[in-house]
Amino acid sequence: MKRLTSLEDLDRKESLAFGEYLPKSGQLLMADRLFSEEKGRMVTQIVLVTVQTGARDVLVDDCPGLGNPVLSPDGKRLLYLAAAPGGRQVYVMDLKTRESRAVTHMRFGCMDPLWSPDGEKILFTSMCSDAMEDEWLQTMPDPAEAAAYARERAKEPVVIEDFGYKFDGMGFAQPEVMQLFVVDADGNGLARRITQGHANFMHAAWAPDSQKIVCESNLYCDKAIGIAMDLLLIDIRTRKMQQVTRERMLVSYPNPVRPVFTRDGQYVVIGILDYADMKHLGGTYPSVTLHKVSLDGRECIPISEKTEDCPDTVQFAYNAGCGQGLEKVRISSDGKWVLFHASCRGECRIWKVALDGSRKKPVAVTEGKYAHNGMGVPQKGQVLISESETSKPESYWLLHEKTGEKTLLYQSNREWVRNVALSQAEDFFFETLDGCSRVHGFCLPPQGLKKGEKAPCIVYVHGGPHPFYTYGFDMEMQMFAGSGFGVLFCNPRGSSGYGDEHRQLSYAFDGSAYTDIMQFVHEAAQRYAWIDENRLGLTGGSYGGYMTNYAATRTKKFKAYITQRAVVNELISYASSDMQGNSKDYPTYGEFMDHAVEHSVICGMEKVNAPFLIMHGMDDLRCPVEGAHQLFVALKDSHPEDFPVKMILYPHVAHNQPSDPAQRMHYYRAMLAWFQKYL
Amino acid sequence: MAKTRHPFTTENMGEMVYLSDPSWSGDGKSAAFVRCTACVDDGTFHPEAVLLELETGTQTGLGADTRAPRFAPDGSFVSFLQKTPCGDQLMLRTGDGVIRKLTTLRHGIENYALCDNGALFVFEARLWQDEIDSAVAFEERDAQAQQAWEQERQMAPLEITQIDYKRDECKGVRDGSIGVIGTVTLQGKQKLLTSGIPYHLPAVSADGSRVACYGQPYTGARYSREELFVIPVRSGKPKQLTENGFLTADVPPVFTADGQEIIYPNYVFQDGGMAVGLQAVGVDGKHTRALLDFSRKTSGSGVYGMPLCRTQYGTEKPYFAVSGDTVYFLSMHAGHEALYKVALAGGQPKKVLETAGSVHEFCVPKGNRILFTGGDTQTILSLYLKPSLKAEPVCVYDPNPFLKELELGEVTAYDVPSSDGKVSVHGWVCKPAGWKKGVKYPAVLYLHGGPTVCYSEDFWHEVQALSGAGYAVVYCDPRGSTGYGPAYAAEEASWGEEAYDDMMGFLDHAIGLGFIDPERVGITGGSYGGYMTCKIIMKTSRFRAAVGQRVFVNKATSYGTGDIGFYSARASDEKPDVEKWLLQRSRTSIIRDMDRIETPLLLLHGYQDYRCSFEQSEQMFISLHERKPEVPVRLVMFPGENHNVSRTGLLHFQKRHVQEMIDWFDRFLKEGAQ
Repeated sequence: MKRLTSLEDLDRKESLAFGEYLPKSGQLLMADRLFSEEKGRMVTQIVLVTVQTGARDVLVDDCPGLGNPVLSPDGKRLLYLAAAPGGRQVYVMDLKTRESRAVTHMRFGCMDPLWSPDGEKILFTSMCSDAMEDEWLQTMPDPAEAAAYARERAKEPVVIEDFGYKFDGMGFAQPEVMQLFVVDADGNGLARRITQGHANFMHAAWAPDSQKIVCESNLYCDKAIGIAMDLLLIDIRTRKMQQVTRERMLVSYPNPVRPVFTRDGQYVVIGILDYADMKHLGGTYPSVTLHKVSLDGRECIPISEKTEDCPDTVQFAYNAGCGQGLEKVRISSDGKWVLFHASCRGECRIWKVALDGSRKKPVAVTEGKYAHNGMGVPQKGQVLISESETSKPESYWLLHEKTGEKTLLYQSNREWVRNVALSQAEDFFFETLDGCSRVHGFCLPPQGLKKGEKAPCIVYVHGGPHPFYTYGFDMEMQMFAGSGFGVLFCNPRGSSGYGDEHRQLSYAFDGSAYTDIMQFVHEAAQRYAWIDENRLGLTGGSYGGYMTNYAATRTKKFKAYITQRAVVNELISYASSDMQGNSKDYPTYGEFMDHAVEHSVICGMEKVNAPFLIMHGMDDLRCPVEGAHQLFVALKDSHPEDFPVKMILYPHVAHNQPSDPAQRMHYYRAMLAWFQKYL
Repeated sequence: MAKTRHPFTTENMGEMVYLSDPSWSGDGKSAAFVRCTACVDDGTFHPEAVLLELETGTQTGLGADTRAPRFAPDGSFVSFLQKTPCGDQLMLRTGDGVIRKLTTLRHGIENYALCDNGALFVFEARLWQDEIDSAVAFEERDAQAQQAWEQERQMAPLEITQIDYKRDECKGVRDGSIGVIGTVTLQGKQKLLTSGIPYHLPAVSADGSRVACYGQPYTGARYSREELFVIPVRSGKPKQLTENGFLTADVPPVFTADGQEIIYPNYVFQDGGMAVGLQAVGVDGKHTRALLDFSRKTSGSGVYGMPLCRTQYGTEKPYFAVSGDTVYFLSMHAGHEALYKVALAGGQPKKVLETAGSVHEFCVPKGNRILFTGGDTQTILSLYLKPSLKAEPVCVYDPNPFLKELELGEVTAYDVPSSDGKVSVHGWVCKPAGWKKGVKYPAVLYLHGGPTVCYSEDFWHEVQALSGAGYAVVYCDPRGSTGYGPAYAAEEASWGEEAYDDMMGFLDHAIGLGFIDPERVGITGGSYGGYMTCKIIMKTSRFRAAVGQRVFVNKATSYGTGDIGFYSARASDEKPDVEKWLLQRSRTSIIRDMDRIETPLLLLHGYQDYRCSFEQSEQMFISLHERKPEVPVRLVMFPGENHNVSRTGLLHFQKRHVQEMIDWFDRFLKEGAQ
């Protein structure tokens, strides 16, 4: 008899990252994060697992900041990141001798290290400002100097003179930006900065000749358009920067596509946002078309096309539950195809289009009720993929590029899955009341439900609104299921993954998405007798919190609400969100203010008639925490004193659920306690 | 040959020594005070309690981070607070210099009072209810354990169910601790008297039998409102003595010598405005009476008067005291803070002491001798002794002799009739340091906050820094300010046109003096002054540059986010309607008119400001930057600072705050400016 998923399981779950298959030895390389019984906490290990036997060879064991393992092109060495003075540094290990040495000594640490194709150099990212000299950046200060430097920096106020001065998760913009460096892989000599200018350089890739790199940057872009990015080509010797694309919006935040060079080094495959008219920003987040661009920028050819089954070339999976450290776009082993991820009606699949543009309509390589969300390096006709299912945690497989056959490489949480009951979701589609679209809904029954029993259910609305729920493993939902709650979730209009019409942003805010969700709840209750319609709770984060707030003022259907990191007042968000709004459609500011207030979801809060819990991170710069403050006060002010309203604020947490283990436990306990008390 | 004298600059701000909390021994031969200085390394300010032999001038410091020195009535000891890892604890220093620690409060002591019988102390400590319940209130933590506890609290989630949960004084959300009243004997026997609800600022009767203090008996939107309580020391059962008493609750109440009455300050409303009065109530809660007669129109402001915008730091002494049958109190009028007395039985107040500048803090006179701190526009707070009725006060200690080496700006006071002829507006003009006749100088109009506060005849380093940088500084008390009677302080004037007219009228008068170039005038102010700065540049383009400090501009976003936005939005019988409340606020917010701004604007704001939240400056910055990109706008944010950034913030932030302002004005007002 399997035990139910418990709250404690949340912080014991094994997760995989940076998987790479070594065909010669039949081994799997990865960064494995798992619970250590002896140490009583989670540890990260870089391991080589022999697929056939499961034998585990720990290359690097449990040190702070460990992760990001990448095998050298000749397979003889391994690079990885680990914490050292300054932050995470790049280490290189000789796989024979197992000796490691640090090859970087960056004052502000390193990110995203990449081997050059000839294996001689490593490209990485570090934060710095133009004013900082290369040598200074790589001299580790002694503790006293570091402390003095930190003290002096702490004495500086933050000066703001332009947009983009803060970013959720990073705080207020510092003079430092993301710059690219190249270092010799044997660690001789200093790393050289190859970029310059006050802009961010990201998603870099080596050219096959190991002499050039491409990357995305906002150096030449209008700062008011926060997500604008161009493709730049940089010669690592001369540091000459060339702008390859102009006025092309390369897809970056939040679902980046790392540019990929073709084998001959003549072209780069990139994802470009389909802005029909670039002036209309702030509307629906556009879909992405894959393009092949020549290094001189003259040719920029689309190589993908929208089809009904595959309406996009990126996927905003909200609960994929897998794929960390893996790429979303690859070129096949034979160099003829471009492999990418996209949703087909909620299934996160791998697709392919022809590199030469001869086959623009994507061909599905995988299909089924899975979340496929990341690929390793295609070699010899096979590519490592990551996968999860609603009731099965992530696993790595070897996918045959042509036939789509999968061979299991590694299943995470195997012991745990043996002993713990996991809930399997049922899903269905229904047509919206106005006949405009179809909505995909999922129902996850509580674990251990007895026949004929009815269960209280949590209706969970995803954030975005553009992401979509998929068939992925969601630990939080399993935890609720293990505590006796059903979890009901759907992809109302506004969600991506179901075509352009369905994803239109306006639907998310004009009441259509709300109607879809309410209709979904009704449809689900018709289908599944275990849903107790009198004991429904509603929750969601960010846009999901907005929807929670929205529904709370319009329906009596729910008996408890939990709003997480939500949108509350458009006027507050206009000025204080890192995704600042704009008022340019209004001739006077006063008109804008009134309109923003009228359209804010906080209006009508006096009508809320069920217990309301507000949860928010204090460092949330996306949906400012002031929104939560105002929502709390409005609810208290408009209700009798004994009406259950509570707010929980989490210090040092940005626009996310907390990552600190103690805070996470507190967070989920609070949610459980609220729903247990009121449903 | 005359030595070149340098003007005052922001660099001098680190040199300033602040004086506060004077007291003297029973025999009047010794005095004590607190001296506060800044640590340049980390910008924090540190007090030190100092004993002073009045005859010889010999000073004895009681150690780093000591404060609140009090003499035993018989002179056998001096008590004071000393910082420890857990907070401030109560210490006793006997004549031989031996120091004994009396308290072991888990989170230290906020303030305390010594009983006239010399045998008992009453204190206010900060504690959590569960600590009171589990009897660990007197268990201190060692430095390591304290650090671990503080680190844990840094990450601890805050669960909030009270509407009044956010306070600028807390730099954020209330942490759940409450003020608790307790007593400790000379032998170190500690006892808690209260629990359950917060209590503050205790006083003890002369015979040690009763404690008077303030408490917060309400929940919900009225949580912060305080009432007067009396607690018998034996039984420890607090009894509430006032109901809707409108207490100021900013200084402790005082027992009369016979212990039968308690005197406390309260707000008095008259002629549409507000003043502070003194109320006496019997310890049985009966027989309440006012000590000052506000039924007659008075030109005084009653007690105190809320002077702001002057150089001061540290906990200042209460502004009233009782000695025998006499009640002494400070009162503000037209910038002069003076000492008055009134009979305990009530009657007409009489002036006791007035200086050319201000009397800041006073010790109860011994006969005709008065020990006090005071200052004027050229002198930072110093310690004075008035030795007899006819004699002039003598400076006993000037902690800032360096000031005499500097060339300061001359300050002159003026009275200007208002444009509607109804009142006379009092104010000052500080000339630029080293000004020369015939030259026309740029000027800054500096608006005070509040609005129910006032300027005083005092040294203010911000004015001198501006003067030292070559600016004339013009500042006044428009209608809405305190110090000119309750009618003058009517808040309606502050939010209406009168305040604006008074400010502009006073500025025009200053320009008329002949040394100010009307084309090169800047404007600044903080809080209400920041609100007015923004409002004024939406009305007129006459100013070359503006600096808005901790501004307040948008009521629709301040609702619930700043602690001023807490005040319940609804009238008692009105049906709640959040949209209506917010729209009403939106429609009456001054930021509506930001499209009219042509004046370059600098915004200065503390990130942890919960009086006027930082988001108010963001509202101003983003809208200007988006809609009027041709108007220069700059926002400087001070991490970790609250609404007091320019008064009690870290030294480097205080300096930068003033320097940013000067640099902004230099950019647009100086010769050759853009």
